[in-house]
Amino acid sequence: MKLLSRQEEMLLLAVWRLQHDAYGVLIREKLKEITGKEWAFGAIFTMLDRLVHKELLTSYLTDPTPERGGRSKRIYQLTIDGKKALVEIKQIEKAMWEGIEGIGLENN
Amino acid sequence: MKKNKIYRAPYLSELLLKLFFPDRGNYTTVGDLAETFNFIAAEDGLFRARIWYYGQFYKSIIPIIINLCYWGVEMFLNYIKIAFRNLLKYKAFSVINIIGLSTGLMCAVLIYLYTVDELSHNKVYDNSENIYRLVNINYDNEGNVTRKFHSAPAVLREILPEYFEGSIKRVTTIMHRRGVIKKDDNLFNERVMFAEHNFFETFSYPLIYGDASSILKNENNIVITEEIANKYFGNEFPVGKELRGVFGEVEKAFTVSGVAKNPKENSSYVFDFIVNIENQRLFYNDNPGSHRLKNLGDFSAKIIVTLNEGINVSLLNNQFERFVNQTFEKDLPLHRRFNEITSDQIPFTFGLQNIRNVRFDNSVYGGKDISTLYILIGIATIVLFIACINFMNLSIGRSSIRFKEIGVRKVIGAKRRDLFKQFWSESVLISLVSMVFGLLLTYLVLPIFNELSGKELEFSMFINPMNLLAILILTLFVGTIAGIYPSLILSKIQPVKIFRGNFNFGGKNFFTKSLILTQFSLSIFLIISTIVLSDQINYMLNKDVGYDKEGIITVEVQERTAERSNAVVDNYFNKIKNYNSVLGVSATNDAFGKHSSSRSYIHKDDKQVLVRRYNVDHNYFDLLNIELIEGRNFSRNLSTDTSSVIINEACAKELGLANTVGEEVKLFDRIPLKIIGITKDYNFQSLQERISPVILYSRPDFGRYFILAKVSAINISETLEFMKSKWSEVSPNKPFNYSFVDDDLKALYEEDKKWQSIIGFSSVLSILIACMGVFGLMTITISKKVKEIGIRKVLGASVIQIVNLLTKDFLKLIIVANIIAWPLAYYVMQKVLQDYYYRISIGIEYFLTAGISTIFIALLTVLYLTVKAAVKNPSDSIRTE
Repeated sequence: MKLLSRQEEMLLLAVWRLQHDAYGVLIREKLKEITGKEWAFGAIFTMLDRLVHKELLTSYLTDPTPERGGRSKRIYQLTIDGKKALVEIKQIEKAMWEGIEGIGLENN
Repeated sequence: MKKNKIYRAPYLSELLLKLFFPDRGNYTTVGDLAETFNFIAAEDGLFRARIWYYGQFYKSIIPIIINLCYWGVEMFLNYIKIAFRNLLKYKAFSVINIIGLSTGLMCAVLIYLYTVDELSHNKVYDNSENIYRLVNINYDNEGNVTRKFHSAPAVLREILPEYFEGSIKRVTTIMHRRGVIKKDDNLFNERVMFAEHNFFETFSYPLIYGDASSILKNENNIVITEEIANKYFGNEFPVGKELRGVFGEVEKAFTVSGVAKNPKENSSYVFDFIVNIENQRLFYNDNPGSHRLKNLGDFSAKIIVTLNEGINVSLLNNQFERFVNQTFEKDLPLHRRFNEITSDQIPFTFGLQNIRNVRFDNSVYGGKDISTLYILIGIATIVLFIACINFMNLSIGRSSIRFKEIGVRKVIGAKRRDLFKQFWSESVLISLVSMVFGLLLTYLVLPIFNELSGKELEFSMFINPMNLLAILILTLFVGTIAGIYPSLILSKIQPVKIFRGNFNFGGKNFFTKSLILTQFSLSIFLIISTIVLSDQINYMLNKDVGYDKEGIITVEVQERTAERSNAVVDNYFNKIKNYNSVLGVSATNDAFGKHSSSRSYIHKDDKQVLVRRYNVDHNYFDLLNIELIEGRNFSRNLSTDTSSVIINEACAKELGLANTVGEEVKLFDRIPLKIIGITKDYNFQSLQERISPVILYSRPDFGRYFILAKVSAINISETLEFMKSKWSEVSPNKPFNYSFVDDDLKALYEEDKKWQSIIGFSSVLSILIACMGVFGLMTITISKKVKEIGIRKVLGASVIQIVNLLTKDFLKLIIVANIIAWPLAYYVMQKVLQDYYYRISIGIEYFLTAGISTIFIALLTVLYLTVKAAVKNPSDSIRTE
């Protein structure tokens, strides 16, 4: 299987962390919180769509809420494949870092 | 942060986003944006939230639109490319489709032109919305409207403006009179319009020479049209030249003061010559009491009223009853008697009718029935529809060729909608191409069409934005109608089924069959109508009308008074009756074989009969070979039989007397006439009408204005030359105006002939188009059955068996189509024939002729293909697998 990209990895992890609150706005908040960068909605949705397409994520609709102007939320969840992909990428990363003490800049 | 406050995201942006996010109606993305908007609004204020929202909107909407456009255009170009490739690849089908559709579109465009022209009747005049014509409305005893005429006493031109002061801007009065116009030695019979001097202000006819407001002011002026200017003056400059008008005994010299462009035919007030209406005075100098311009009892003028801007017509129309009561106070009892009113019901009023509405108002005398327009539109629709059906059938039948393409497109990711769009744009493309050809055809056919319809349509009239838009809409419409079903069907196909290979489609399609059925039913319907109509016309032309119409010439005397006219008649008789090619002469007061109009009542005791009356002489019956079934002819000596009358059978029947001959009837309830004979009924009018009661008397003091002469069939031109030379001796100031009675009779059926040829043309077109479609379908069927035919032949089938196999289904269809079309045609033609009093009965032979000829034509179409397929060597067709 193709490896996940870093952004995809982050997105999947954010979804996993949010569990049942994993919808557009909060996912964006989470990513901002962790990376410290503003993520464009567009970027997030495109990626979410792509992950759904790859069947790493599934989604369902909640009931409409008033603060969204009566619109539903689309909540995303990891699939088994999604989880496997995360585990795989984590192992690869781990393997890549294995035995490397440092690359000389950590303390700066 | 106030927790519960909800901020509304900018409405318009949200709406647009919703429009473009294909989110299956859940709008979760828009919801996310709204929530964040709320959050920002609570944190940083509404203003910043809005800025942010607009930013988001901008960022998302632009790429979406660019994306849509890019792929839209890209795919569309691809569709067009494929469509063109298909057009070129399957030439036979393209040709069939394009010929069919372009013929259909040609019909549609022609009828469109015709309709636009008909509906724009009288709209050519500037200010036409304020121009009204005065309509005379007659009532019967119960107060029901009986007749409406566009006629009124000319004197109203003085009364109306005073009575309706403030409302009426201008009154234009028009009268007509036949006369002779002389230029040097050239004489022509012409119809001259006597019009108010403001005629050209009311009707904005473009003038080549002259000024609209002053051109008719002078009573010695005459205005002519371009055509007339060419006829009389050729290349000379007409203005200032003299034309002499001869009306009866009155002769007057006019000076040409202006030339108008030839008036368009689709207006009510066309003319060749116009002089000032005051010239009518010339005719009444010796008898001022009957002066037409002063006489309230003379309803012979047409009055046109131009209203001021913003006047409510219905208010004016309500005032006419009072107007009539006041103005016609003295004459009302007379009018009541004329309209047979015994109560104090008003016998007539007037009404104003906008001149733009006159063409299709058949409640007023001279108006046309709008249903003729509907019939034409119906016919054009039928032809176009038949062509559309071809397109549908061929697309569906041919779909197997494109299964692979559809499959691949679907596999790559085309949705049903995309495929639908593709096929739809293909059919629109074909219909566009056909429209180009259709317009070309229209251009070529237009002169013929003008001939048929009696119109003056020009192709250049067509080029304006309105019409081009209409054409575009028509093209899209036809493309859609023709393409919608194939598109739906083709886009529905599942790729899996296609690639699995055993996908059967189209061959035994119920829809295809019912479409062919429709095509042929409509064609057969049109064919039957054509045959019935042309037979009816032949019947009318060849029916024994009860008199000899061969070789009878009518000559118009063109004198106004009885005395002078009779003198000319007698003189002329003496000059020609001994010429050996002139077999007989007679004279009558009314044109023969044309619509005659003078009708009056005769009374017998308390019974009254409406009759047409003719003043004839004793030669009349011999000359025309009219049989007397009872009684005797007028005696040779004119003076003895002045109070005798001969009636026809119809009249005798209406009188219903036990012993008709010898009885006495009263003409106009006062002139006593003794019945001396009864003639067999003869058709002196169009056969559309029943033979009505006729009385013939022989009174030398009454005028005889038409000479009837029977000439032998040999050397006709010589005889005519002789008659003409003698005519100029007798009546040097009048042109020799003659016509053959049988030509006049034929002219009565011009209108019917027009219809016959229009329907005939369309039936030929429709059957041709339908057959082309069948040809195409048969090609497809055969190409699918090549192997089947081969195997059948190997197993011993004969050529005839195979041809039979291929054509059997198709033959059944045509037979069913006949069964559908027959009752329909019978019903419709029965209705049509009801307009003719003397009509053919619709026998089975019409249906059989139509049926057999369609079967024959259709078989001929498919036979070539089937025989070719059947004689093919089976080793060729089943060699490869």
